[in-house]
Amino acid sequence: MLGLGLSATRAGAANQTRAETSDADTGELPVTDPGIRPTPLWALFQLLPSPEWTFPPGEHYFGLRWRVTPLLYSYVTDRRLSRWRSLIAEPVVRHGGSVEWFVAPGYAFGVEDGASHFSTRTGIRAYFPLIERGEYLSLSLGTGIDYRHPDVSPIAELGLYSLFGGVGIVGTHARFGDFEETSVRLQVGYF
Amino acid sequence: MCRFAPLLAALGLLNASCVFPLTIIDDNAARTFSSPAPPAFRTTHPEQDGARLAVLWVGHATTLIQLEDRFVMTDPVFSRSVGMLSPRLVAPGLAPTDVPHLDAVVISHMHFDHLSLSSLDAIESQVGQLLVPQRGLIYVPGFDFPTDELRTWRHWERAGLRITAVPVQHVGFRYGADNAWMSTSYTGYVIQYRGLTVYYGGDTGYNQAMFTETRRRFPNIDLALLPIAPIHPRDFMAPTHIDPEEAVRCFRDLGAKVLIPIHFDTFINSHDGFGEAPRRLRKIMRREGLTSREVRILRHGEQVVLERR
Repeated sequence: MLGLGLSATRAGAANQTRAETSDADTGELPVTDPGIRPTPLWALFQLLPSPEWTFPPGEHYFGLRWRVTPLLYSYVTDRRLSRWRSLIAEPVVRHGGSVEWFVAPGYAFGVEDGASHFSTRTGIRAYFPLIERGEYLSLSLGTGIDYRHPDVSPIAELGLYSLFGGVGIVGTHARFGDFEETSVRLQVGYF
Repeated sequence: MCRFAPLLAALGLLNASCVFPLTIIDDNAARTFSSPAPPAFRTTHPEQDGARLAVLWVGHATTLIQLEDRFVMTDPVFSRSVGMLSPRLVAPGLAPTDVPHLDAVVISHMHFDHLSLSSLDAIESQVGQLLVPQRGLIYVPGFDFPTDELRTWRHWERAGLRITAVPVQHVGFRYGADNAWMSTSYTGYVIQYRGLTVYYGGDTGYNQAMFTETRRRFPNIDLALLPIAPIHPRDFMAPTHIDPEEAVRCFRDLGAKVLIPIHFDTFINSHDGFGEAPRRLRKIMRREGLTSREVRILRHGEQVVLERR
């Protein structure tokens, strides 16, 4: 009974009445890749931004950041299945142990006059499972760059996630020229 | 509920909501944060000398089946809660450390009350083989034991122990959005060894065609392990969960000799009152003239020897 979702999706109770013929026992049993694909529900959730608070020296401002995963490699998925994901990664695939290339566009409110509201971070992030193969608790370490016109900063980040990766706290540290800033994001994500 | 309502509502919404309505949590809020009750029986040595067929109901859908010298466990869940939000009401009747070597463990589907990764971790060294439904392999990453998928009517066999995936009517997702592609990752199983045949229904709605086809292929089922809950809200549950009345119909469709009900009174997952499902089953037994030898209602942790050598 207990799975997570928006509904019991009765339509999903597609029956299996169509009886497959009983195959001969060939020794090795076939496995099937899950065949993940974008769905309207998934797309809808990707539009949800994560709130972020940034603390440059002597001030702070609020912003929003989105998450895109162009490529992810799971190092724990069974070798008979594809270990690669693009855009969509199931929680246990991502948080059970993986390395991803991330892109995270953001928009900041209340920045100083003349400063860009837009920024984009990109880099590599690794996830490590802590509890229930990462479904209950996982940790991430990441590094990359933050591009905020006209500046580029190296970044380092640390994240902690729960609820199947649905919520997390991610801290990011950046150094733009002479000053450093730290941001904290309440990561909201679904797949 | 009251003071925890906003917290639980926020958790649910942040997690894209739960498959069970939040009202279910609301109804059971008093038990949400309490410790599980002790089981009626706590077994430490489940191996039954001289048993040809024995079953131990650990709780919910977790059973330990002994077929002579072979042991099979169904949907092992030993955790304090499932899906983070659904607490356990009654502690498991068997500790993971007391689980014997398991020739096979079968997972019926991917829901949290059937596939518990921490529970598999807890018995990892005892598991000889894990079987999951088609497309289920992706959700059991990184374990030491061999894992295979079984498509409907396909079987796995080793040293005389044969396990066949049989059709049931349920859903295969784990997280919700994966329902779009996890369309085949649920199954029942028929377990056979030295002339013994055990049917394990996992979770299923009532589908007579599936059960009669299973009976046609397996005409001598000695034991059917069938869910009898969740019952309420019925309109919501009926497509994917049989109630006690449907379980008896399923038992007849399968032509099994003995029915042992499972999947009740262990986790909060419905509006059912505690004890409601077995009470309704007893009422149906009286109405239909079923004896307690045909329908064995076990208490948590209780073990029954159905056949001796």
